[in-house]
Amino acid sequence: MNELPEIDLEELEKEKRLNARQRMEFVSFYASWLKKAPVGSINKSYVAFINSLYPYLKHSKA
Amino acid sequence: MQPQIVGGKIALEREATVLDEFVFRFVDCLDKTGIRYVIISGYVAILFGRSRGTEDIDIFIEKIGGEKFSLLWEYLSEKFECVNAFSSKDGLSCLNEGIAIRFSQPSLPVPNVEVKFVSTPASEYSMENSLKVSLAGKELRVGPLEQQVAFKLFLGSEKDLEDAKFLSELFAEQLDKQLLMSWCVRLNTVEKLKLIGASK
Repeated sequence: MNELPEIDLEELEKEKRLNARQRMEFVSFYASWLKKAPVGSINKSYVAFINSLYPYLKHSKA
Repeated sequence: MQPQIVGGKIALEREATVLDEFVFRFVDCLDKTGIRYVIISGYVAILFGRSRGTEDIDIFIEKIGGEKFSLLWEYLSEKFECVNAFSSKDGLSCLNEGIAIRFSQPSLPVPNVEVKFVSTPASEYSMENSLKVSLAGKELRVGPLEQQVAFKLFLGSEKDLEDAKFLSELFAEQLDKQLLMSWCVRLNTVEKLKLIGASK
């Protein structure tokens, strides 16, 4: 079995912080987009996406 | 499509998702029984457009006695099964002990509705100051957004911080900044509020 590589934890932490900052920037971009987007486009993309996450959930109204 | 808060109400103009319909089915049972409730946490962000999934929908309900709870259990049993209590009596005991009970679509544990009694000043505040959200002809009650943002910061996971960022940006012009700051001071999350850029 190959020897495991040395891990620079400081480097990893830096990468984690950078990823988190980039995620935050994306969330900010998405919220701004959502505020400006026409209703129709939300219906199509958002609803389809959320529905796709729950394939076994009933689709009948209450 | 910026949701507008008008007189404590928000009207959403979009189709309901299967997740919304799942929540409607649950809330219908609460409404039929006349039980006050408030939806908090992750589903609130999703309801307003955050594109992510969740395994549970967190709901506080008012404290009720055995008779009313039995009636609720009866209504819920038509469409849901309780994951961690097997009778109305068990369920009520859990709630009275501060243990959440979970209801899901039969034979499908996820997603589930996690129910707790209102038991703390914060949860009481959430219920007393809830917002009405209308969607696809239905109405839901969600916790006040300033409190939701502050609590998400308090919880502090990556997902929670993103939810806080999302809500604070989506409702940037409509949140009561002073109230948000007061909640953050109480929950010791002022630094995190700065981190997500919502302290201005």
